[in-house]
Amino acid sequence: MTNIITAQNLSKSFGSFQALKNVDLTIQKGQIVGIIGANGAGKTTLLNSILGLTTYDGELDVLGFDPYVQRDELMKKICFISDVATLPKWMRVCEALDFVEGVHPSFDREKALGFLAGTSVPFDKKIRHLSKGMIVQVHLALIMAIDAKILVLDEPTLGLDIIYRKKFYHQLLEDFFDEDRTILITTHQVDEIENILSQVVFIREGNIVLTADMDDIGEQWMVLNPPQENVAAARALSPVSEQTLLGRTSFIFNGKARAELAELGEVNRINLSDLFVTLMDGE
Amino acid sequence: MLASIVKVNGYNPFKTLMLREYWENRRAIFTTPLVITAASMVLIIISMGVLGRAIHIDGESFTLSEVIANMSAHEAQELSDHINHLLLASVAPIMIGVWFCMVFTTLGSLYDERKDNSILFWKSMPISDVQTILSKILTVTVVIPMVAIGFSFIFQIFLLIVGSFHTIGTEYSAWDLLWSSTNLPALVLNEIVYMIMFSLWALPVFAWLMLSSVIAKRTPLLVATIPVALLALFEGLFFHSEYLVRFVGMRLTGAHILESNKGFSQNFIDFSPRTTLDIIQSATQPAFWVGLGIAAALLCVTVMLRKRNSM
Repeated sequence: MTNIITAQNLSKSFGSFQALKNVDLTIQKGQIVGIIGANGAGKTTLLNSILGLTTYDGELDVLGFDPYVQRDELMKKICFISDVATLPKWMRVCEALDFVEGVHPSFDREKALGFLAGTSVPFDKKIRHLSKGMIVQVHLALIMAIDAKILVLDEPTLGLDIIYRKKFYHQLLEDFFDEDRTILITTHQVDEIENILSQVVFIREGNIVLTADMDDIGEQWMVLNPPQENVAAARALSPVSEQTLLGRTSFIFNGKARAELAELGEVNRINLSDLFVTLMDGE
Repeated sequence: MLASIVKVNGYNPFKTLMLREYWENRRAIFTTPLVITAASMVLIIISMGVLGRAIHIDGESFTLSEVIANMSAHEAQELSDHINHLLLASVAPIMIGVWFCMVFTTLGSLYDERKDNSILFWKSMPISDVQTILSKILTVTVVIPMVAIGFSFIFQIFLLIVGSFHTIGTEYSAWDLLWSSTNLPALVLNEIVYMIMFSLWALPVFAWLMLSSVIAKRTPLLVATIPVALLALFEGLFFHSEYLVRFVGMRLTGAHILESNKGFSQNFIDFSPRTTLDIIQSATQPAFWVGLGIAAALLCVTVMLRKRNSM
C-alpha cells in the first residue's frame, strides 16, 4: 500500500488557539476516510492544510508535494468541495464547464456533460438562479469529471435534503471511486456515510484520538445489550461506557472477546455515532 | 475568428483566466462603454436633428449646417487643423466612465471572491496566485481601456459621419473639411499609446487598490483611501508638503503624460493633446520607473496575502 498523505507533528495555531496539536497521520491509496469530530475540533484546519489553503508547522506530504508551497501543482491531482457553496454566483453553468476545461489538464468535458445529462440543470442560467441541490450537482459533476487521485469533501451535503444526500453518495461510489483513488470526507451526518467508509479518523480538540479501519472497529468495539439480570455482570467487565434508554441498559466495550460478551446478552456492531459520542465523552 | 478567441478551446489556463475576468466583469469591460457611447450618440442625434438650432453663438442659435455654411475659409482651415483634437476631446465621457470602471473593478477583484466564498472554488483549481493576480491586473489596466478605445473609435467615426451630413449644401466638401484632415490610424495609435502609458503610470495606484482589495474585511474603498488620506494629512501638517496627494493625483489623471514638465496644478488649464512621441517620452522620467518598482512590490505583497488568506 502506498501512503498518499503523510503528516508528522502537524500543528496550526490561530493566535493562542491551537487548532491542530502535533498530529501524526498517514492515509493510504484506495481508502474512503471519514474524518469525524465535533465543531471546532480541527477537521477543517486539517483538510485545509492538506489542500494547501493554509500555513502550518510540521511535516506534511501529499502525493509528494508540499501543499502550501506547491498548491497549484497539487491541485492537478486533488480536488475538493468545501463546506460552503463556493461556485461563483455570477457564473453561468456553461461558463463553469468552460472554465474547468480551460484550467484543468485532466478534466473530461464529456464526462461532466454525462453527469449533468441526467439532471434538470439549465446550462445558460447563472449559479445564483439554481437551487441548492442543483448547485451541488453542478459542482459534483465538475469535480467528478476530473481525473484526480484524491477527493476531499468537507461537509459536502450541508443544507441538502435527504434525497440529494443519498444520490450524492451513490454517485460518488458509482462514478468516481476506484482502488486508485482516495476520498476524504467530513460530515456531521455520520450515519449516512458509515457504510461507505473504509477508515475513520476521530479528531478532538486538535488531537487525533483514534485512527482505525472500519473492519477493525467492528472487531474491537462492541455494544452489549444484556437482559436486566446480566447488567451487573456486564458492568463488572469494565465497559468503556454505559447508557440507559427506556429501561434497557447497553454497554460499549473495547477489545473484549465477542464470545465472552455473547454469554451475557445480544452483541451488536457499534455504529459510528455511538463510537463518536463515546470517544468525545470519555478519557 | 473572434469567436474562437473568446471561447475556451481545451486546456489553456491563462487565456481561460482572462476570459473568466471578462465573464465576471462584462459590465465594466463592455456594457459601460457601450451604454455611454450609445447615450452620447443619441444625445447628439437629438440635439442636431430634433432640436435643430442647437449651437448658440452670441445669443443666436444655428444648426450645424448653418455654422459650416457661414464659415470663412480661415475658420474652415482652423477646423481642419484641430479636427483631431476635437475628436480626442469628444470621447472624454467614455474615458471618464471607463476610469471609474477600472478603479472599482480593481477594488472588487480580490474582495468579492472572499465575500462569496468562491475563492475556495478558484483555489481548488491548479492555478497559481501569481497567474490569478496577473490576469486581474491585466484585465483592469489593458483589457478595459482597450475595449474603451474600440468604442471611442466607433464614436469618432459616428461624429465624422454626422459632420459630413451637415456639409451637404455648403461650399465645403466633407472629405476636405473632415475626413482627409483626420488621420484616423494616427488618432487610434495615439489613443492606444496614451492608454498604455496611462496604465503604466497609474500602475502603482492600481496595485495599491488591488492590495486593499485583498486586505479589506469590508469596503475595500475605505481601506484604500483612509490610510492615504491620513498620511496625506499627516504630511501636510508636519512637513507642509503634498507629495502623496500629488503622487496619487498625477498618476490617476495621467498628468505626467499630458504635461511632462509642469506641475500638477497647471495641468488642467494647460491641456493640450500630445503627440504619440511625446507620450512615449514621458517614460524617460525617473518617476515612471520608480512607480513601476512600487507597483511590482505592492503586487508581490498582494500575491503573498492571497496565498495565505483563503477565507
